[in-house]
Order: sequence, then structure tokens, then C-alpha cells
Amino acid sequence: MGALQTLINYGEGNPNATVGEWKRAGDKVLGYWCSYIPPEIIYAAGALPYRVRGCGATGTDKADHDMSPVCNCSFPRAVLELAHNGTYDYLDGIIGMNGCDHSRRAFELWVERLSPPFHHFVYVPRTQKKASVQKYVDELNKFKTILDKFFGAEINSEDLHESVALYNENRGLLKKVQELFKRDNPPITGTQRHHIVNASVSIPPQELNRLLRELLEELAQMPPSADKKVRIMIAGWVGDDTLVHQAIEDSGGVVVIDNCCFGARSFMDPLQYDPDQQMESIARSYLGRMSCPRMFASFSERFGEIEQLAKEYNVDGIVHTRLQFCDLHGIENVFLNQRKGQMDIPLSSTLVLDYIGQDEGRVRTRMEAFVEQIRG
Amino acid sequence: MSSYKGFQFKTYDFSKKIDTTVDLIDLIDELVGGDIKSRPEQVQWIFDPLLQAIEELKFCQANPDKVVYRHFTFAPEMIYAMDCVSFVPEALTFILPTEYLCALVDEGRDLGMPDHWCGFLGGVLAPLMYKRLPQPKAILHCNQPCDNSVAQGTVLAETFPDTEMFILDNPYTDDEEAVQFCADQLREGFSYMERMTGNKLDLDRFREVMKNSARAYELIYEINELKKVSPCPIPTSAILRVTSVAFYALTGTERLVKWLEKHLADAKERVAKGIGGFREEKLRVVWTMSWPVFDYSVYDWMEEEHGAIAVAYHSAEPFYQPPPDLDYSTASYDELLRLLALRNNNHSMGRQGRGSLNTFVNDNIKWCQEFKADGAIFAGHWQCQANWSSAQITKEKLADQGIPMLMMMVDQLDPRVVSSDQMASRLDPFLEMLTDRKMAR
Repeated sequence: MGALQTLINYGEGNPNATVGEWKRAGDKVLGYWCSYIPPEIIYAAGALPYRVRGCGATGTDKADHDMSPVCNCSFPRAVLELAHNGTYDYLDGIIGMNGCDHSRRAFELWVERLSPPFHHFVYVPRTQKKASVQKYVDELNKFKTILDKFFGAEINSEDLHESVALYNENRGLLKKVQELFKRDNPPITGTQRHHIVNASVSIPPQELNRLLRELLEELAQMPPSADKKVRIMIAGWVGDDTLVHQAIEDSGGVVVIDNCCFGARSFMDPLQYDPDQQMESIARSYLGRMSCPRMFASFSERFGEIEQLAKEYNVDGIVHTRLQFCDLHGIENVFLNQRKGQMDIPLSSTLVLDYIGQDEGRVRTRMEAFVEQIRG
Repeated sequence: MSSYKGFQFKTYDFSKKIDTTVDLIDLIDELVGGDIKSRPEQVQWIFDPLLQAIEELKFCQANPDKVVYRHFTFAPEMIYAMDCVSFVPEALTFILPTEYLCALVDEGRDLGMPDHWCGFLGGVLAPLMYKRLPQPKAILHCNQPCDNSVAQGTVLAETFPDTEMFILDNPYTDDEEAVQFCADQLREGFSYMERMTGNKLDLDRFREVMKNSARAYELIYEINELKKVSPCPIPTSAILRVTSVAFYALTGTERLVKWLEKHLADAKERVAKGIGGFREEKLRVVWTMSWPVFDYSVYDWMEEEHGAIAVAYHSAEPFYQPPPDLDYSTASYDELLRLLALRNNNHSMGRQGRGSLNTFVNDNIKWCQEFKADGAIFAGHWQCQANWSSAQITKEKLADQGIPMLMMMVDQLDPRVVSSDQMASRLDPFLEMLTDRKMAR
């Protein structure tokens, strides 16, 4: 099997095959909730960082007992459901944070109801004020100390240095794959790239680097796709799910770029690392990178990124997505509408999603119509 | 239909075309302020905080150079200490007549606001975006109690791109580290206020404001202690909106202290005479989350039909313990910042929203126990997702204490989400069950 298929398989699996190998070697796997928790620190402690996902959940009955489905987002409910049904029993611990109200409470309910062997909450500020950056530095230092205690060995500065280098290599290689989408006819689909991104947050970083290098070689040999496709950007949130990508690509489009956290946001900016100020530089870099709407008053910055990426990737249309009950992405719709005239690129009205995806037909109809409208 | 088993609830006329472009401050002054002033003189004092808040809105209208926007859970003491006046956009939705609020929510939806946006914040989107509200000189915002506050920050940043904002990152924990983190930020906040308003912080003025704030908390604490007596001398619903406005908007002012002194004297007198509310107290209930504001006759119905007296409300009343003793005449800047940090971290609603679910659960258990509740009512404001996700565990832990809890959904301000009739039809069997339990004991 080639690197592409291996990565797709890893991206589709929850858990994937590397987790079993990792565990069999006697090493620990720690789940983490959000992209503002630096996996670099977890990996430096000797554990495999595994970003928890909802992929594989077929319902949310158990999670709904605590998280009402009439006002709570379906993604954290799906993750919590998998925790309830034992899918995440292989995790040696779970790390939460204040990404949004839904994921924060889902983490706490996981702890309260299921008593995982280890858990920790990393508080991540939503601004870059002096006191807030310092607080995040303190939180990361505390996190490191707690991991030291849990693993019974101190993470030294070399461990962290190496881990950052590995993850930055991940990001650099993923960006190279991403940049292939600047071509008129990218060698792979956006759906395939999304699986690769999903794999990147759930397999050992060394293995990822090896596979990405192989993939880039494979792709260099691969003929470009033949048809001219409508070039789509996804802006907002789709999570690890590929339904929107598939719907677009089955309709004659290709998803060339996104600004999602399970997506370009996770690899476009390298960690600006300073070995003399390890935690400070990690904290600043995470708070200052391509942002999530959880960060305060960051819409203008994000809009600028959307505009820039749309130009760089010669985008024909932008699909705005969010999950039902998401306040943070929800408000962006108002301001995207206000500013869409500035871009001269068609913008879809917001596609509101339910993570479990029972409404596939609706999503497909919407995407088909959008792609058709652009094609003219 | 606006009646339940013959009880008449408030009615609305949503067919009426509402002019949402009217000056909302003038409207509130005329309708709400006018209503208070038309009441008999001997009861007017009860509503003084509402009048004070309306006067502040009018002041903002007349003095645009002094307007500082403030999130409703950002303690107002900083603004008073800087000799400015705070303008809380969400306060408008809280005080506005229901038909206006609903029309504003619809206007927000026309702008693309998500359907699930609550009336509290949703009602203010259109007035902000259409620039119908005073222009701010500075903006103090924070990220508690919910994601909607963060989203509201986006609204403010996009509406006033030329006004730098100060945003308080509310901590997750309640330890000393969290207090210090908040104090460090508030220090940055005062520098921001000096830069934006041109006013210099006067330490004596800050001391005076913090002394008034501490005194207000001592007084409400004493009042709450008296409310634990049976019959409850002051059923909470009677002055729910007033107390709420007082502690979300006016702490730090001398006028609030004076009002609370009168309020306490009244409560003491009622306790001494064994006077309760208007109706006999048969059941004591605690509202463990939000409470409908659009129709106070729901509380009348509960009292009349079941003798169910609301003795405490989660988000309307400050259950923050009085601050530690301090000599305010000599208190240092650092000491005052620490107090202000404590005040912010323990702000009603903010404290339970920003922190761990155990804070929400434990606070509610404590209140229900202390106020000797026969039952608890979780009227979950439909967008308070963090609280909704804490409700089931609260219910289970309260059940362990022998206190049943009803869970139902509301929008505090918008009866189109859940009407008074619907609430009554949920409350009725629950209150009946509480009565049966009490009689069986």
C-alpha cells in the first residue's frame, strides 16, 4: 500500500492502527481536545498525543443524558458518546481546555462520569495581553510538571526541542502537500487531503513525517487530474468529518483550501520556537497563529486570511460552514455577509451542520447547487 | 391562549408593527421610568436602582465623551473609579418591553444572526450594527459567562473598529492564582482606561468606590440571610429585576448602599413581625439557573396556586460573600486590585459559567440547602449551553439531598421560545408533587 492510502486509512480510523502498535510497545496515549493544547509537550513526555474525534459515533444517546441535544453541539456529544461506549478506553488520560463551552463541559463530563486514569485541564486565554500570555506560559509549565509527575520522568529541554522540531517538520510537509492544490489540477482530492490532516493529529509524528515524505514523492509521479474543477474553499468548521468535502467533490468541485482547525489552521504556521524561551515561545506562537473564533475579536484577522488564501489558491467559491449551536462561528456569518462584496468571490450562505450527518441529502443538495451556480 | 386553568398571564400583541429605530433609551425612560414614577410614593423607593440605571443611560446619551461600554459581568467598579459611566448594551434588552425585544431579535435574525441566539444578546445586535446606540469612548469586555460573550466581542470589534477594546480573560479556577491573574489584567485595564478616557486614576476615588462596593455586598449578604427565615420576608420575585440591575450595574455607588440599607431595614422589620410575602408560604423554591423576565405573573401564579415562594435565584442575586476586611482609607492599589479581581471572579452568573461544572453544581446545592428549598427549578436559558450541561448532574446531586429539581427550557426575555402557559404546565405537576411530598413528611 502506498503512503497516500496508508495515510487515508489512518485518517479514517478512530483509533488508527498506529495506536495499537504504540500501546503494545508499552507506551502511553493521551487524548486532547483542541488544537490550542500543544501536542509537542505531550510527545516530549513520551506519550502519543491523540486529538479526540467523534468519527465512528452512530448516535449520542449516552452523551445526551448530560448534554442536551436541543442546545449543545453534536461534535463534543459524539466524542463523549465514544468515551461512554468504550472506544477511548485505550487512552491513558485526557486533556481538556476551554476551547468552547460545549467541549469544555464535554471534557468535564467525561471526567465526572467515566473517571479516566489521568486528566488535566489547560486554561488557554483568549487574548494576547501581557498578563494573558504570561498566564498561558504558567499553564503550560504547570502542564509539563503534571506530565513529569504522571510519567515519573522530567521532560528536559532537549526532549521538548526535539518534539517541536518533529512537529514543525510535520507542519512543513503538510504545507507542501497543501501547496500542490495551487495547481490547476491538484493530484489528490480535498477529501483525501482532509483524511491526511486527520491522520496528522492522531499518529506518531515521526511516522507522519516518513509517510508525508513518501507521499510527496508519490504525488510527484502522479498525473494531474484531467478535468477542470470548480475550486472551493471551506471557511468555518467541519471537524474531522469529510461529508462536505465529498459533497463538493462529487458535484464537480475540488476543495483546494480551508481555514479549519481540522485543516489548514493546524499546519500553515510553523511554531515560532525560541530554544532559550521554550514555553514563552510556544505560548506566543499558539496564541498568535491563524486563529479560531474562540480568540477575542479576531474576525478581521480571519477575514484577511480567508481573502489571502482565496487569492493564493485561485478560489472560485467559498463555502461557509458551522455546526448547529456554535456561537463562535455562528456570529461570523453576519460579518462575512457584510464584507462579502470586498472579495468578488461567491460565498455560500452558511451551511449549518449536524456532526453525525443524518442530513446528508440536504448537504449534498446545497453543495451541488453551489458548485453548479459557480460553473454557470 | 394566555391563561392556565383560568389564571391570566401577560398577553402580547405581536401583530403590531414595532418601530425599532426609536431611541431605545428614551423609550425605556418613558415606559419603564414613567411606570415607576407613576406608582404610589411609598413604594417608589423599591425601584430606585432601576431609576438609577435609567438615569445612567440618559447620562450616556447626553455625554458621549464619557461612555464606556461594559459587558454585564465585568464589575462596574473600575468605571466608577475612573469617573465615567458604563453603558451595558445587554441591559437594554433586559429592561425593554417584550414586544420591542422580540422585534429587535427578529431584526438581528434578518442580519444573519443564528436562530439559536438568545434574546438577551440577540436583541442588541441590530441596534449595535445600525449604530443606534451611543458611540463608546472605551470598551470593557470579558469572556464569561458563555461563548456568546466572546461572539459579542466580535460584534463590538466589528461595529467599533476604531475603538480599542480591553478584554478580561476570566479564569477557570477559583484559587489564589486565578485572583492574581485577574488582578494583573485589571492593572492593564486601568492603564487602558487612562489612555482611552484621558482621566487619571485617583487612588482615593478607587478606595471610595471599593468601600461602597464592599458595603453593598455586606448588606445584600445580610438581606439574604434574612430571606432564609420562614416565611421568607421578601419573596425574591417581587424585586427580582431591581436587585439584578443593582448588582450587575451599580456596585460601587453610594446610592446603591443607601437603597440596600433601606431594603435591609425593611427586611428586618418584616422578620420581626413575622411577615412574609403577599401569600402564605407553603413551599420554598430556588431557581437554579435563569428565570423568566418577560412575565412576572408566573411567580404570582406559583404563589397563588401552590403557595410556592421563590426564595433565591441563581443568576439574579449576588451570593458572593462579603469581601475580607480592609482599611479602605489606607488600602494600597494592589490590595484594591485584588478585591476587584475577587469581585469579578465571583460575579453572579459569570462565576458559574466560566468555571468548572462543579462550581455550578456545588453553588446550587449550597443555595438550595441554605435556603431550605423544598424543590429547585432549573429554567435553562436556551443558549446557556455550559449550564445546560451541568443541569443533569446538579439534579442528581440535589436528589441525593432530597431536593427534587425540575428542568425546563426558557428564553428569559422572549416568550415566543417558551410561553408562560407552557411554563405553568411544566411547573404545575412539579409543584403538586412537592406539596404531596411535604404533606407526607
